[in-house]
Amino acid sequence: MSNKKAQSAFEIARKQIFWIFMGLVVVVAVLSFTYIIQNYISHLADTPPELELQFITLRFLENPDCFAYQDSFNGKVLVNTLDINKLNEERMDLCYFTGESKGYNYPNFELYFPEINLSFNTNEYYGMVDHTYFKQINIKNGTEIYSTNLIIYIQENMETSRHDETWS
Amino acid sequence: MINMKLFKSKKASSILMMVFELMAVVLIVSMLMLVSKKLNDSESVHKNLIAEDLNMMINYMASVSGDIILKYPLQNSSKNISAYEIVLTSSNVDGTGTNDAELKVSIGGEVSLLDSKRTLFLPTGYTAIGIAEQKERICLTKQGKSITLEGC
Repeated sequence: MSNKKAQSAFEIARKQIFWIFMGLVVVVAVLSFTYIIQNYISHLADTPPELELQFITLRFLENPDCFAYQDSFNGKVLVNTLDINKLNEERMDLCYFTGESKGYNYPNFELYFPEINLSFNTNEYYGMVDHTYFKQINIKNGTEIYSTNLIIYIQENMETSRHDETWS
Repeated sequence: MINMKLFKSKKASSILMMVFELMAVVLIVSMLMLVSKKLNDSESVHKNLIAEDLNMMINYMASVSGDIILKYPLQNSSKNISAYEIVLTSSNVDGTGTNDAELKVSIGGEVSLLDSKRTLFLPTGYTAIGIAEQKERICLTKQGKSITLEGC
């Protein structure tokens, strides 16, 4: 009789332990499920990264607050023409600065002008190149304008997987 | 009056335990269904799409040297953004902060884990601010170094 009682008590205790354990498993499962679905949804509406990067890199070539040449007399901006006096890292920091903390999780750029052997980059650029962008541009140096090549190396996000894609 | 003998009987406690287990299973299943329904609605995708579009529009505006007005969505677009609250905040409102701005798209201003957020890095001196609550169309205006978002 006492053996049966003990067995019954053991049965109930076993079920309680099972349900406590199951409760923890269910909480973990729901949280993981939420995370997986949320991650899936956030990537469902992703646009190709090249598109967004094109819009950002456009400022290097067209905005006089970045590197684009602006005529001091009439204020006219020469699109696709860069001012040689603006081509330096200080100007780059004024044009695009990702912040000190976690800036590496956002696109960072290196501008390289092979013909004049000049390069500079944004503050959190570590050379982990995801995309390479080739562009034919003009450089204004005093009264002279000459055509040259510009290579923009893009480090998209240090946390994402690496892949090198070349586009122009 | 509950018969206490019922709880002492092995058969009764076994039935009670089974009922409890069934209730737990129903609770878990309904919880998972609720979570999946909440997460899997198209609202989240729409919010992400709107945030992505506006992010690219603002980045484009930061590239243009002159003043510009961009309207979103397009006149004949079937896209409906009237259910959303779109907030654009800049760290550099007084001209002394960093150049980053944050774009947030939410439903009716509710704070949710599923709000779509984007961080933008603007050239020094630029500000990007504005709010559009449940507007059918919004206008992004760039005047000088100031980008504003408002309903139009």
